[in-house]
Amino acid sequence: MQTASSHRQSHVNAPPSAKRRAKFIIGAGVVLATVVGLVGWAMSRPGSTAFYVSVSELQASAPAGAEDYRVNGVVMPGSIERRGLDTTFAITDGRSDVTVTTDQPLPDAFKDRSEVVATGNFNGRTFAATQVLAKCPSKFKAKSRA
Amino acid sequence: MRTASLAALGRPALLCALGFAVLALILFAMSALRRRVPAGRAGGRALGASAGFTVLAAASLLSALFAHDFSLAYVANYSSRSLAGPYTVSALWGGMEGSLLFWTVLLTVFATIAVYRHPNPDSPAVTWAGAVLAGIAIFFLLLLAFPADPFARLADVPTDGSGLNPLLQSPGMLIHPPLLYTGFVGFSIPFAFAMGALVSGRTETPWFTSTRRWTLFSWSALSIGIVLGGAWAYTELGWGGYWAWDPVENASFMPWLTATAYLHSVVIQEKRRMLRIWNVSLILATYALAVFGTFLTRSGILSSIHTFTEGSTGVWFLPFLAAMLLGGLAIIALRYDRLRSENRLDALVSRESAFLANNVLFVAAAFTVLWGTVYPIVAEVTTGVRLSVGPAFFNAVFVPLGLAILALTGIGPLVSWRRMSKGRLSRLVRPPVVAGIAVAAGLWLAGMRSAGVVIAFALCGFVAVAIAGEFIRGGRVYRASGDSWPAALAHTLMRNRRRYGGYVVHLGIVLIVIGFAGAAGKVERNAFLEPGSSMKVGAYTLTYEGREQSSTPEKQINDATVAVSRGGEPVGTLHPQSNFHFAQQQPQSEVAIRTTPVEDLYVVVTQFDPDGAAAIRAFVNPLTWWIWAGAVVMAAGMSVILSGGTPHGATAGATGRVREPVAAAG
Repeated sequence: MQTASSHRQSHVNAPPSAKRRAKFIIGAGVVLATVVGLVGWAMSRPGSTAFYVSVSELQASAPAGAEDYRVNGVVMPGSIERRGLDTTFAITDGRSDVTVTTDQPLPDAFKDRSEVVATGNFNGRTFAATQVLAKCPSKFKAKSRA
Repeated sequence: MRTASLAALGRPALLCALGFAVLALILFAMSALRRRVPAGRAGGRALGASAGFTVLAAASLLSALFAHDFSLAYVANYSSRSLAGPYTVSALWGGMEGSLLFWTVLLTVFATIAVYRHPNPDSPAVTWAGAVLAGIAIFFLLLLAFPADPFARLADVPTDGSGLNPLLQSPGMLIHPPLLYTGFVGFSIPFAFAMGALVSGRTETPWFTSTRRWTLFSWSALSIGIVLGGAWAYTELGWGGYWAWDPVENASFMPWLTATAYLHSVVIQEKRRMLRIWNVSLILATYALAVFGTFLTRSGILSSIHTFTEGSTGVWFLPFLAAMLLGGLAIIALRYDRLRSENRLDALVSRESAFLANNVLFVAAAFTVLWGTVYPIVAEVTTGVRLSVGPAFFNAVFVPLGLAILALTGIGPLVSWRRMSKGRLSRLVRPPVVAGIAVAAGLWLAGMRSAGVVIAFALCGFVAVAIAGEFIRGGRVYRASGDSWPAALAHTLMRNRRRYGGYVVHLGIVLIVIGFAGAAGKVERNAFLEPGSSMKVGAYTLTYEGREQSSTPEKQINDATVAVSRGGEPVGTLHPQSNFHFAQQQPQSEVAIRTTPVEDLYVVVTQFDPDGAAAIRAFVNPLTWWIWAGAVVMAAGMSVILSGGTPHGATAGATGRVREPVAAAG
């Protein structure tokens, strides 16, 4: 057990304290550098980031098969076609539209006119989605009633 | 109409609450500036009145929800006549306006209790804290009075409301949001008291001891709230997971990380009177991140599947957040001299440096989440390119960071304060290290080749044995005086509840990590099945036997019968559903889970064909059960800590002495 007076002693012995300080600063520097390196490495891994675009922006972009895209749009009414696990539908941002194909399960909120975010690849004609998310409609402010 | 008159009380009550909050601010400020105690007491009463009127406003909204008073836009948007009773309560926080009202109720009530229950309510530090709390309350009441009015009327009153999102109609959603809000709002108390202590110059007042129970309580509520959110996602959303690194999830996780760092580093301040600036900064960061999360979910600035409306309310948060951060930093800078440490770190191998390393990692983790969450905004502003950051990034960072933190959980308790001899350390470290190596070797021999998984389980073994060692060393003291082992361990736990309760929380974390590591062995299969046909997932064979349909006023139920067998032996029948909800005009799937400590079989019907064929998604999730078991253990540990009084730590804080129990030396 120690007393308040023994605390003060740590201030007195300056040289070893300065050395310890340096040790701690180096230690903290190493940890920080490691974390920054970790974040940089993780950001550069494939699949970590995706271009987030609207349908028009997707159509305007050059087809680049290797890039991941997340495209945001509204499901066009009547465009949903299901065959077994495969689904084809079209999304629009009001200016242009794109056909999306997926073999993944679709969320419950997925239906005509729902707003979706599809993640996947674009070959210039159709968008092959590996994941389709739908925005929860009622957590949105309910649409103004007519 | 009687019901309408109750709703009519709402807005006047809110305006009264706002008036009293302004009055409280004026009185507190007068008292603090002119050193007038009676004004401070009157400020406390004004704060209490503000709380009373906020509660009245919430009660009137609740009564309008129960009375189906659809003349209120909020009631029409978030409830319906067919909504089952208890879920009418969750409609109170199901929409943005109601959730802000609920937040403000908690804020004003907590603030009143904190000011009244403070051991020294007339001190300038408390008066300043009261002023800060009144200021925060004014901000939220202004939001409710103007841009986010929960009592806005509809010109055309509909005959029925659009109903609550069926996803929110689950028991988890009755508890998860209130717990999260309790956590977020609860941190305003230590934040306000820290600022109060700084402004008043009473930095020797241990603000952190007088608010310790608030901090622990808020942290516990936030922890359990986050786990419940995960459990809700797992059992309701049907994608087989519990955490997706969605911005809204991140918004709750960031303050949890900094608060966890704070809970640990405040112990150093208490025992060694070090890290004062760091601790004040951490509590500022925690509260700022909690408010930032609230802003993120209400601004529509980030695309998330569960944000509220893309309305204008979020914009109001920015000046508030900026004022809080700049004000907080300015106060810390002004009081910098008084906040300097009295002590320095003595040795690299010490409890202090273990705590420090823990802090660095937790804060690094928090900033990593912040980076991943706001990177899309930064990238868009700087380069004009919109990017999104996915779970792959967060998982890649969090596996190593989490494992490093887990390792410290085992090492920290073994090293003593200030410095320790190498001999003693190696003696204490040996059994846990042996256990870790044994686990790793066992897994390797069993054919496990994933380095991350092997390391995770090995560290779990290491930490579990280290904690067991602490309990055994603590228990020996009581054992020597004649207790039986169970009694000795119980004594150990109850004598120093914060320390040993903390170890119980750590044990819960170990169990949760076991569950996380199990996710590496996850299997997913999708199949489109005609009645009578089968699919395989992991070691299971699922046979879709057919669909049964029935109706309730709310929904049409489509119930699938799925027979499950394993190695040819039938093990049971699951009933996943895909039900059509009339109010929302959309299907809602109900997951069927067969859960065991070894693995969960998780089955969802994602789509029924009109002819009765079903698209079935099935997962085998190893060890997920341990996450929920770990959360229960954590909750038990938190209860132990919270059941203890403050005196022990308070005296240590006041005198600056290190008071480790004798047991630690054993």
